Amino acid sequence: MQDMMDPRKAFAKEVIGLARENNNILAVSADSAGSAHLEEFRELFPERYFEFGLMEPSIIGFCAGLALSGKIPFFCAITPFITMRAFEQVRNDLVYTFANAKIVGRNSGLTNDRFGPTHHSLEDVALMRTLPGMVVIVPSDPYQVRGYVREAAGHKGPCYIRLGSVKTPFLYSLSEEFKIGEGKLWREGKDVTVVTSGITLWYTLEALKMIEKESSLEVGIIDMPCVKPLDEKLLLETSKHTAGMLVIEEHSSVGGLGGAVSEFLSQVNPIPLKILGVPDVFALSGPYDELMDKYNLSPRGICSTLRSFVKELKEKF
Amino acid sequence: MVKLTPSQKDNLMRKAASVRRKIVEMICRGKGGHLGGAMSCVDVLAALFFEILRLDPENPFWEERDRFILSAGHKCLALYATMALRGYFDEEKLFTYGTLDSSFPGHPDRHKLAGIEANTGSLGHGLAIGCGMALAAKMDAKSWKVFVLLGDGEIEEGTVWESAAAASHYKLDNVIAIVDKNGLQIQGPTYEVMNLEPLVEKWRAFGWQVRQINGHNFDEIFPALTDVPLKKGSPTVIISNTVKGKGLSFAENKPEFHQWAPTPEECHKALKEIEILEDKICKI
Repeated sequence: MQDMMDPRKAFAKEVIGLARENNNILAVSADSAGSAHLEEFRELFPERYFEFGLMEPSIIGFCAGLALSGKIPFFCAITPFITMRAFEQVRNDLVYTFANAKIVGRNSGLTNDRFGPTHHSLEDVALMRTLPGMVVIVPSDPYQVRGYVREAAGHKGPCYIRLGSVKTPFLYSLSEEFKIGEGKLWREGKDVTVVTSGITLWYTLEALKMIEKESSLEVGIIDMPCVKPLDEKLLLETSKHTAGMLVIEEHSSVGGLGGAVSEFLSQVNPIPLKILGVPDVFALSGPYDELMDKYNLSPRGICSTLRSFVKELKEKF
Repeated sequence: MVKLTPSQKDNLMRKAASVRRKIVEMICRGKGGHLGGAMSCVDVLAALFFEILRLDPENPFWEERDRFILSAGHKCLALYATMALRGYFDEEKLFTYGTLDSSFPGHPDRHKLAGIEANTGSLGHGLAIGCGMALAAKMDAKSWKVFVLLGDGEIEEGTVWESAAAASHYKLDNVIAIVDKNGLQIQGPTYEVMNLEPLVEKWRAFGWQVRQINGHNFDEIFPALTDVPLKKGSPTVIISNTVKGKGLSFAENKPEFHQWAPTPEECHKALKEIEILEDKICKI
């Protein structure tokens, strides 16, 4: 059994570490110390933990004011509320103002599974990446969560970090370094290259285990946790040595990582590209695994999409 | 209660008249702008920048400065003109207003002008930002205060009341909100568009100390902004009763002058009225 961790726990652990090193690190909550795993932070640093209740738009403003006065607030809340309900505050108070505050969306994507579309977030990456100067990070494993929380704290300016709530395995080692603007080339593959971020990196690896048992397909993988700024150099180089790219994301297929990758590649090296995300619908509510399977984002769904895409590539090109 | 000396009052009246002149000149040269709300908050801004705020125009980022946030960002022509007269920058620069590379856009931008604390314009944002600053000051045991000027139409925004609740919850007695209550918004009287009365009781219910003043009378403005907080541990709100378009007879209390794109004849008329106002002050 692989060692697994809830990404929110990884986040809380790193923020506590940062707070030990820097008195300006704050944790800000919208009635969610428990779900954000910030109870330990609250106990250790009560004077640097702020509970504001359910007023997400104004909390973004409070964070901006704190940041403009030298503090580095990490505000963690349910993703649709922090990115959509408070979008204008994020746009104006954080990003246009260029305040050094970090917003962390938790229970993102479909992980608030049974709660339905009001609690799902399939549009957040699309929204956040339209903001000039915003850093958008979708970490893929617990070490990457920790690495990027640390990166965000050291980056002068607003950042958005997207966290799920499903335990994921440690896919990287503790010593791996993660930089804003850098993707990770896991392997090259001439038949197709998967570009992904978040939990779907793990699911892609599982899917490839199935595919490799029965075929000799050469599938490359790029882990692209930093959706903005995008690692354009890595994408361009990799695109020169692969027949097509399949972007996989637990997000709407409109405007997320797929949008970012296709906007870039269509202008510099327009190779065949497919986006596997949730189609342009409000998703169903139900158990997470079933939802992911329904939208072909499970290892099984990824497997079949990969096969059909490669077939299509071979037939058409 | 602190009182203004006659010379302080005389100075403030002159400054306020000059600010009103600059607002009209900027709008005339820049071919339009938000007039009504800028004119209504002039006297409060003059008192703040010339008598109340701890600031250093030579060093706009001075750590110990009081913070001023113009939450009703559309009133920015009054702020730009006041800052010019206070010595933040050369007055002539004001007349770049309306051009592409101006430091004086239609709503304040801290990246363009040193001394602007927050990028406001969309209403209902400034009080939250101010509360965040005040919280930081409390954490660091700093004595600087945060003054936030809101419009009386603006306070229809729900975020204002979220912030009001939080300021009270965190006992931010270093926050002073000023409601520029000119009684009008674009569509007409605020009580007709969305009635927020009884306003005093509303702020009190949110845990704020309230003081009402005539926002064009320096004898009331000065002590109200000086004797703050009104109560230790509570945020203070000053409800400043004002006249929209104050200083121009044809624009006073007329919602259609919220924004103004004047003809050359109207500019001439407006400047003539300002001249009369200035003469009147000189004779006092």
